[in-house]
Amino acid sequence: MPHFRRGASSPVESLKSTPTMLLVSYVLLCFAAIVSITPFLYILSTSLKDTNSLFSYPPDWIPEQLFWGNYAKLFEQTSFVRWTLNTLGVGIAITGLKLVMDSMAAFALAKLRFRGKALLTTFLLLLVAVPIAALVVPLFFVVRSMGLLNTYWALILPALANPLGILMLRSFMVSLPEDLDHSARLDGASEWKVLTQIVLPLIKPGLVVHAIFTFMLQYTSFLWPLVAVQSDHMQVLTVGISSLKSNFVVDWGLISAASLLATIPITVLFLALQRFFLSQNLSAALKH
Amino acid sequence: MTDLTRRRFMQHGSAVALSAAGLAAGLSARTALASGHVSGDITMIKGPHSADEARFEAMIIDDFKAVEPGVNVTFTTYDWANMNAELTTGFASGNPSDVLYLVDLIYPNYAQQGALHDMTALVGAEDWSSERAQIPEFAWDLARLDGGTWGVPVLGAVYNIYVNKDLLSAAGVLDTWNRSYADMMDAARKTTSDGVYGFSVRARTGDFAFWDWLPYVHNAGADLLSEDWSECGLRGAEDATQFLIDMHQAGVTPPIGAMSTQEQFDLFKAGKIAIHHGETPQIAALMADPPAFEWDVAYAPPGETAQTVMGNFGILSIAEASPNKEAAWEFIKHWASGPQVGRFAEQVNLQVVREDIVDGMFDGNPAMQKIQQEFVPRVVGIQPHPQILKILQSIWPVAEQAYRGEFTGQETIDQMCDIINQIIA
Amino acid sequence: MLSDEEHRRLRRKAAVRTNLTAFAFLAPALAFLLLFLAWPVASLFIQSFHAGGVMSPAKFVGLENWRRTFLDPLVVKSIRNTLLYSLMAIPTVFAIAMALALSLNSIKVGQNIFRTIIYFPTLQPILIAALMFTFVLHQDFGILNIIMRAIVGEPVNFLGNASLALPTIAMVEVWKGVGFWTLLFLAGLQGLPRDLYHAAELDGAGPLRRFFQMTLPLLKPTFFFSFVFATIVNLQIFDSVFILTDGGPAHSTVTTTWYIYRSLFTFNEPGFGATLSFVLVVLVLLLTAIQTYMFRERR
Repeated sequence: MPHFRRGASSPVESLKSTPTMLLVSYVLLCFAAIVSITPFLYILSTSLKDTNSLFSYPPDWIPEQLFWGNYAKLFEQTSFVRWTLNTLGVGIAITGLKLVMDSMAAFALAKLRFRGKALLTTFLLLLVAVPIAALVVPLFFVVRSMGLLNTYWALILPALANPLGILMLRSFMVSLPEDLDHSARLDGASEWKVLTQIVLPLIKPGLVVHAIFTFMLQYTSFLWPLVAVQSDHMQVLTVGISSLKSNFVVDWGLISAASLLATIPITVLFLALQRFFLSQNLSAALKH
Repeated sequence: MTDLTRRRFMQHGSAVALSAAGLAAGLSARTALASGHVSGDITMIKGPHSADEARFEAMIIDDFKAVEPGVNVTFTTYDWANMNAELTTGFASGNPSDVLYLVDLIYPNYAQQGALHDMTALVGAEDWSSERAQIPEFAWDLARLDGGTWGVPVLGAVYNIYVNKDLLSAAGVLDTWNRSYADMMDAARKTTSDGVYGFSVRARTGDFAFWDWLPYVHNAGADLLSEDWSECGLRGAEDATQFLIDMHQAGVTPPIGAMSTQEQFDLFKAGKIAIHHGETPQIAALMADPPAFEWDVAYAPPGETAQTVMGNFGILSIAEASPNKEAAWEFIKHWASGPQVGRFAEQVNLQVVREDIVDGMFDGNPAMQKIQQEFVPRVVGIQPHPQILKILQSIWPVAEQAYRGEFTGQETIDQMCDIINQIIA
Repeated sequence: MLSDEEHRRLRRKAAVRTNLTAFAFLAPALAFLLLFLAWPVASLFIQSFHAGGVMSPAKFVGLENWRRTFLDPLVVKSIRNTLLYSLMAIPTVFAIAMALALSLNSIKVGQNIFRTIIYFPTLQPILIAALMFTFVLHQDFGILNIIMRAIVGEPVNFLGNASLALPTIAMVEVWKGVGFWTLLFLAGLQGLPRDLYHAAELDGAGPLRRFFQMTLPLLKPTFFFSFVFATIVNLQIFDSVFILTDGGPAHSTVTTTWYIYRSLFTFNEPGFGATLSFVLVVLVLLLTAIQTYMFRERR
């Protein structure tokens, strides 16, 4: 075993690895990277070909001449821009509302004393285990009785009812030292002030993780948006792209172009925020 | 109207003389429509038959604007794969589209649930009688259920066979392949070679694979339900089903379920399938990008009692919840009129139901002409029982197992009948 | 006495106030949870005794839906497939994710780029993932079948073979899920106390022993959360089934959520769908409870 360096300089720095471990690690990671990316290259190739066949015999994976018509058609003849804006709008609305509501509720659970707290926490844990997909039927009726079917609210409101975010933020808040908010209270700060000015700034990474997961969940959801709204101009990306596929003569180039472009906003978001996934706070939160 | 439309229609129609009756009917419909007495906003929903569906619908709506300037029509589409979910949502919301394009497979259920408007009085009106007469009685039958008329039949979709004539003639079976099932089997065997398959039908549930099985059932004189819809009617289709099982077991098809119907069509276009079951809108793809071989459209060989073609129909319905049924009806009359439906059918390669415009259609598209003239009269559609979709989707997994060699034709039909009888009990 | 009484009153007043404050903080979230989560679960139970209700008024049918649920062989099959799928997907995705997390944790150069690439599939809606896999699985051109041809000499009918279709769906879901769990495990690994490892290393514990005797036990809380969460998510498998196989071939990929969807929207049987949904909720709660119990026992 080779020597190791004492007193790692940064908390994220790992133990010194042996050369064998390093080699194995890189081989594994390269393999995983190839597996992750390869399927995507097929779509890229198809989106740049002027054909409505999915597969041409013999295949030409690297088109001799790049064809941009699919992208032009996507913007000119489909509501792709509208779908993207809907997806972003609905996703941002859900994420924003959830951040506010969930941090308030998490704050009460983590930092306030009240009757029935243990019971409520258990209740939330139970609700986490409810499979949302099983609720399509009754959810449909609730939304209908509120007269919200086929409106943007039908996409936004039900998505707010997910207890996982509350419990996650609660974990972050519980791991904060008690003295901080105690001393603020002694100084006469209201609970709202304690939450917004002391607690929230300290759990920023937690909020970002929460925001990304919430947004991602919304971005990739398909079943509920499919049944909740019907009008073309309210569709989100997943449903919109699936409607391209339903034409009798499927335009694969168009679908590939749409699929490719649809990955961009969420990937950019992830790239911009990914460092927060690896904070100490996240791992701390997972322990509670 | 729109001189533009009429001119365009007349161009198509000029080669073959339009029947006088048809022309008169078209004109009388015009006068009925031109009154301009309705107004308001309505919406229409339809599954797309083309990637350019919205553009084609806009043409119809623009023409309507000239007749009924007071009506605004908004067009939306549903996704074929999810049509039930989307339509159900619309109906349940209490605010469905006013005009709905529904296929015979799903409208009966909605009619039974009270979601559709009974159009018996509308279609029976005196001022529409000449138009009404252009639509054959068998098509009206498909739109009638429980004493009501639930829509105006407008379009038909035929499930045809595509053949690669080069492969068939190289194997010496070009003229014989569709004389009988045995000949078709022989042709499939002879054309199968390394990487080339003699025969292909849909096998996946998601592809509505039952469309390709049903003509063989009909050819045997059987159908899903008995004549009075009281029990399973598949008795008699045992041998036909056995024939398709044998085909799949003979190694002349692509691996069962390995490809979607679209991927199979790609294979056909590449010249690697001799006898392929498809749909008429695919003709557009063959004409736009001609393959390197001679192809033609065909239908299955004769069975014990008949030689039929499978097809299904689309009707234009009005939602019971629509607040503006008058405007909806005016728009349906416009959509179903000869010039409009004729142009649309040509744009998307579908068949029209009305008989007066058939002769002049599909100029320069011999395959479609052949289908409209030779195939459509042979069409046997499905029985519009309210549970028909459930029946088809419930029995198909049995066929999937059978194609894979797990059941005989007899066992397949036995099991299917058990399922059907249970559903309609 | 009096001051005591006053004290108590003050304390009670303060308690009422904190209770009220807490309630105010909880109210918005709770309102949504009750309306869109708790009530739907309760109404599932009510609906399971009714028929219709989507386009026509609901009608009381007693135990009819429940009778059907217990007699319908497809219900059993859908539950069996759902469990089988979870048993295939969860351990696989965890094993791969753990290996990748350990690898990421042991490298310094390129950690960011690998992390992003590995997370990429997780960001894709299943619709797009399914399109990608149409290419990957294709008989003639799919990369997997090009490999299979090289190894076994002939292509594999991934989605058309009734015994391979469910594992293939599991494979797609694993491909999509690995990034998520890798990141989660990596976060867990990086939160482990470093000093312990240094001490163990000084004691001469090799990497394997360190992994089995320290890392795994220390990661138990992360694993607990992961198992419970993965169970909940995987028992709801729908999107990939709907898009890749629609339950076929021969019902081999029918899952509970797929059957719920079909009952509601294709067969227009919301009561039966609600009954099935209720069964699924109970199943998930039961499995979650068992997992919680098992983790407690070993702790």
